[in-house]
Amino acid sequence: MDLVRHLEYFTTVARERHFGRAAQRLGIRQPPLSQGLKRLETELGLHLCERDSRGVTLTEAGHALLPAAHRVLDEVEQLRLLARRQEEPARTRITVRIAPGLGSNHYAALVAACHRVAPDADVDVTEQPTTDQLGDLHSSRADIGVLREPAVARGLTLGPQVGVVLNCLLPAAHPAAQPTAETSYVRLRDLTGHHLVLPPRHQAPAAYDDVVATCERHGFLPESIDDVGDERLVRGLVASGTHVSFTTDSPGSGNGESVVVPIENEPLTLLLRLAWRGELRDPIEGLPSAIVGALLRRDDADTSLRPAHTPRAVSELPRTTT
Amino acid sequence: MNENTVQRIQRCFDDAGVFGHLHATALHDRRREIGVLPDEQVVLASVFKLPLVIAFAQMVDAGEIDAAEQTTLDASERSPGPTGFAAMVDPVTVSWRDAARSMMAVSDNAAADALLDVVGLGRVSGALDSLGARSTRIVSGIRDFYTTLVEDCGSTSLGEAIRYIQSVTSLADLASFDPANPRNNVGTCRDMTRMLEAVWRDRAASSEQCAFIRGVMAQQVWAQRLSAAFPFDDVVVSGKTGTFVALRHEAGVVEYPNGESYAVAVFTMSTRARLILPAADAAIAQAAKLAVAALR
Repeated sequence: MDLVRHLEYFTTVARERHFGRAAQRLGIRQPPLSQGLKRLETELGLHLCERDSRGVTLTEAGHALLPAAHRVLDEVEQLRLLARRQEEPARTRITVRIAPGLGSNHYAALVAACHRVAPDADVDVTEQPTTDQLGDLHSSRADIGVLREPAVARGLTLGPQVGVVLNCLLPAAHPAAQPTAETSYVRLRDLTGHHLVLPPRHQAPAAYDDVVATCERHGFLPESIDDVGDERLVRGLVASGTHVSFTTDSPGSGNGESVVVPIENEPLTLLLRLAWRGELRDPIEGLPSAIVGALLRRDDADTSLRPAHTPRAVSELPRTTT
Repeated sequence: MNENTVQRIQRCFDDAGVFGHLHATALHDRRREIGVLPDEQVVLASVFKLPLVIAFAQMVDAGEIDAAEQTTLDASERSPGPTGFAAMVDPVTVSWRDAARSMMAVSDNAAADALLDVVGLGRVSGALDSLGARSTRIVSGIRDFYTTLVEDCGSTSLGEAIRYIQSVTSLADLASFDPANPRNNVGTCRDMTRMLEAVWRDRAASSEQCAFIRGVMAQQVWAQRLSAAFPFDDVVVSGKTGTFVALRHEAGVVEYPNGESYAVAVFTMSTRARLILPAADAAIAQAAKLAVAALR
């Protein structure tokens, strides 16, 4: 018997809970569908579903076997995909992994840059926390990673560093968010009294701590710090008036209830680092500079660090005055 | 159990954004040890003062120097530094053993270079050989290190070199942090615990001189690293720190009143060139705490 086809019948019936609709979906008539299911039940020695006036319900055994049936069908689908790929002229696949924090406009520029560099390749751009990226770069599951600094990367080739300035996401009611505000920016200390929403610390612990330290350095001790990963929830919390957050979105790109305002002297940066394993080969050797270009497209990003400050002496460093 | 501890230590380094190395061993039971890249060479910064003080102690034992003899360190010839005689402005007259004490307790650069001038790199290498610390290489004192640093950075002054280091985007590219650079003092965490074991077992020098080294190491003033992990009045933590921009190290011994003692060496290198990075200091404390707990 054709096990794969019969499993397909089974999963479709399980999804539709109705023989007529399942048959329609499969593009066959009902009798062969019932027959196929019966054969599957005989083959497995189990009763998989019950038919009554309202439709079809799965038996306990049916429920138990359904996930395995899905897995088999997924694998078969993979097999067919692979087979098709063998026939087609080989297409290069470029996998770029990016640490969370960039906005849709960055991604648009970035994907476009990838297509420009390698027009004949399949480009796969996904977001992934830095620690996971390191694993994928090492195991060659990803070609290029855009890591969040400080990234502790051993055995990888480190490419250019890009700093994307963070702006403040303010409640619309905040004085600095008013169109009539005296300045076009907000100072971190002006955020006092608000709660701070940050992406979950485990995604980039050291970077998270640096952001909190910078807030404290500039006089902003948040009422509390809430780790939230979902962008819509972040917007909601900010819109509620009690929370503020930081974003790479451009100033003025708010939605009415929350507003993006630059921070005075740009003390916060989303510091990213390109990394890959070994040496990049054609066609992606030009990709790092294209990615940097895409991230720098907006004038609020720069490749240099802040100007150096006079060092403060600690431990073995002599105090220098110049 | 150790496997889990190693992972937790690794996580605590990752959490602080530092490359970390560690070796810890129970001095009362040498079979127990734990390591995270314990044999990888790291630039030592001021931890090099540990083999230097051992070489000094061996020199005292050999009768080649009188530990109580006074020497005068002239301000104009002293190596710069933020602590001890290095930070002072007038001439200082001090005994060799108190110079060694200042070098170990407050990481006094001027005292270290004055001692190295009389002890010599040859005796330091000899001390390392005698203790089996074969992955440790001492090639210069602080004065030469700063000269090299200024050259490597293409700068004209130390202040300029440090500002340059703070501005570069990849510390890995800097010769001053590269353990493969033959001009750097390098060592491994395992070599450090080996040296500490020799000092605590009276094998590094005479028992009198080993007691001297233990004494000056117990006077360590910086408490934010190893000491912070064992804040108990009846637990003695002795150590030698090393700090240079991205490098933060400490090698020391934790002694409990019941006789349990543990040698611990933790080396870290941060990926950002910040002079003050409490997270890295805290990671050293946490890593040491995890390691010692696993060995107890």
